[in-house]
Amino acid sequence: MDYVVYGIITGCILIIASIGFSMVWKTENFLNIAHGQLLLIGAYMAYLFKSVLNFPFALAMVCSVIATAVLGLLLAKVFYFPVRKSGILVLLFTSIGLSWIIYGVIQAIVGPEIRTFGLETSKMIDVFGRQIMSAQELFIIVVSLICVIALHFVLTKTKNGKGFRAMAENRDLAQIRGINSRQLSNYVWLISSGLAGLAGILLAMTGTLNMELGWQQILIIMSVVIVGGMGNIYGTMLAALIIGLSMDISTVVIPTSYRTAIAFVIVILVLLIRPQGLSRGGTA
Amino acid sequence: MDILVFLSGLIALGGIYAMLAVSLNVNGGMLGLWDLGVVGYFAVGAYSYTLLTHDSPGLGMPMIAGVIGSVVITGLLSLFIGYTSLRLQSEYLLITTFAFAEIIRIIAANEEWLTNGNIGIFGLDRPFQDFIPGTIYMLFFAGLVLVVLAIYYVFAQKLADSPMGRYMRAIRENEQVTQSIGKKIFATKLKVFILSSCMVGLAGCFYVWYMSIIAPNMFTSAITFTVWTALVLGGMGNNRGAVVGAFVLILVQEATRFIPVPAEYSILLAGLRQFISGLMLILVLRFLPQGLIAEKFKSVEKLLNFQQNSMIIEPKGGRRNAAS
Repeated sequence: MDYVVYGIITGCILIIASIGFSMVWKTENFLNIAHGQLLLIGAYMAYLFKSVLNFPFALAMVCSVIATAVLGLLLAKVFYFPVRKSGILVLLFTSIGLSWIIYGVIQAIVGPEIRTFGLETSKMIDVFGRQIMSAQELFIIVVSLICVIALHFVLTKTKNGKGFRAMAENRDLAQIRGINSRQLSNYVWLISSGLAGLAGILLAMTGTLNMELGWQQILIIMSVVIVGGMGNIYGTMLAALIIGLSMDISTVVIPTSYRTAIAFVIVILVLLIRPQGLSRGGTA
Repeated sequence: MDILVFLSGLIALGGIYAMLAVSLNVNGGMLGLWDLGVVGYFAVGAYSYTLLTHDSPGLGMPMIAGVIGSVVITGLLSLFIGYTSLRLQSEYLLITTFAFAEIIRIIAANEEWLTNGNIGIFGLDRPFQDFIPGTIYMLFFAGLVLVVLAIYYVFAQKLADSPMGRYMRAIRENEQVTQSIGKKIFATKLKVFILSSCMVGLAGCFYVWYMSIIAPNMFTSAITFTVWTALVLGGMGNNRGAVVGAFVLILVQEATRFIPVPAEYSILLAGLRQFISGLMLILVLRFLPQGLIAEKFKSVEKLLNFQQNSMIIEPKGGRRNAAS
């Protein structure tokens, strides 16, 4: 039962981490490897606000998410937008280069030691007399649920959300119909980077902050997005839960160190059996 | 003397990366396969060599058998990986190969009975170790690496000029058209993929000799990215570019390692190294999308010299970017 809870938490964090990646893939058509490093930025920003500037944790989180979102948009404007016309391979390698840069800068600033947020262990929540999860874990689940629901409403109810879905389907056609794709892609980068920052913070809450966090997560994020099917956002959510659950439940039968290998086995199997992913294209 | 040892070490490491870049150029550059699994075959080559030649754990076979064995094992494994994944296109292939490489590393880190886990295996023998005094061994080894690199280079160059090479570039430029003139796409991809992986596997043996230890953390995905960065820096689809890119990148990364600085700056310097590699990659992509040395279409040029009044326009700078 514990494993299911862990799996759900891993899945929730993965949802937040992958949606941004998936949105960027859908609108810009390239794999943004630097997305993993945005998780790292988010986590260390929160550390900066919480432990260095002594903000309360909630405020530190909000500040860090906003800072990461703005930074992500700036980085995209400086590094990606000028080479957009050169094709996806150039964009892909630019994002790898950007990952090295972000990694290098953060490494130079914080050094190799492993840190934590230093949150006091929260008390367990009893349900029917059994201890299910800690308040922190509940918090993670609630935050990601709020994100998912908010995102759903933004995408289906607001003008920009509908514009995003149109742009994801066919960028040229959307532009012809008068959708301001430049402005929209700014929003996409903001949301995507902000979500990445949030995912980084949540991830660091469950474990520790270390430099390899970005590189480790980007592999799993890519697996989730592929399993979910070509940037389909609802498919991505489902895939994140499936991969999160199977990673944690698998530890019952196989050694814990093979946990991440499960994600990769799933993605290989999905690509071989059902290359279009769990759910085919469709609406955003 | 110290500077000589350092320089030959640098050349040896640069040479090993250049070998990797040339091998990657065969399938990544010329055939256009987005293969992010380089480190996987590298690790398999290195581990199978070690396990074949080392006494315990391992079979204690002679060195030459180990080298041949490692190439064969890498080839067989890449046959499996290639057969399962090469039907996939671009990004999907990229992620699948990446996933395979990660699985290989995770297995190497966890199967302690086979690989001694994260601790790794120490004190491995190097070729001709008994005949060459330790002080100049690195010099000899750098020479050995350069000789093998030259063989790699000549081989890849011959391959690029052969009908097979033209046909590989045809697949890269337009798969459907190549298929329509009756060429077997999948079989070619598989052949080239296996060839390239075997070359990477052999480079793995040299890496083991260079490090004289083997451990799973030597085979992180950073190696894959470094090799790709080297290839993109030097110019894709171009063997000379691959070699130049690898040496430039290793020089930049390793040269800063030996600048005498106070200990508190060493972390800063480590970060700076990553920063410079990334910045180099981005700047090259932005301003020289074909890399330091652009790919030349030798056969097309010959054709043009032959028929001066031809209507074919020679490919110029902007015609082909690295994306195609």
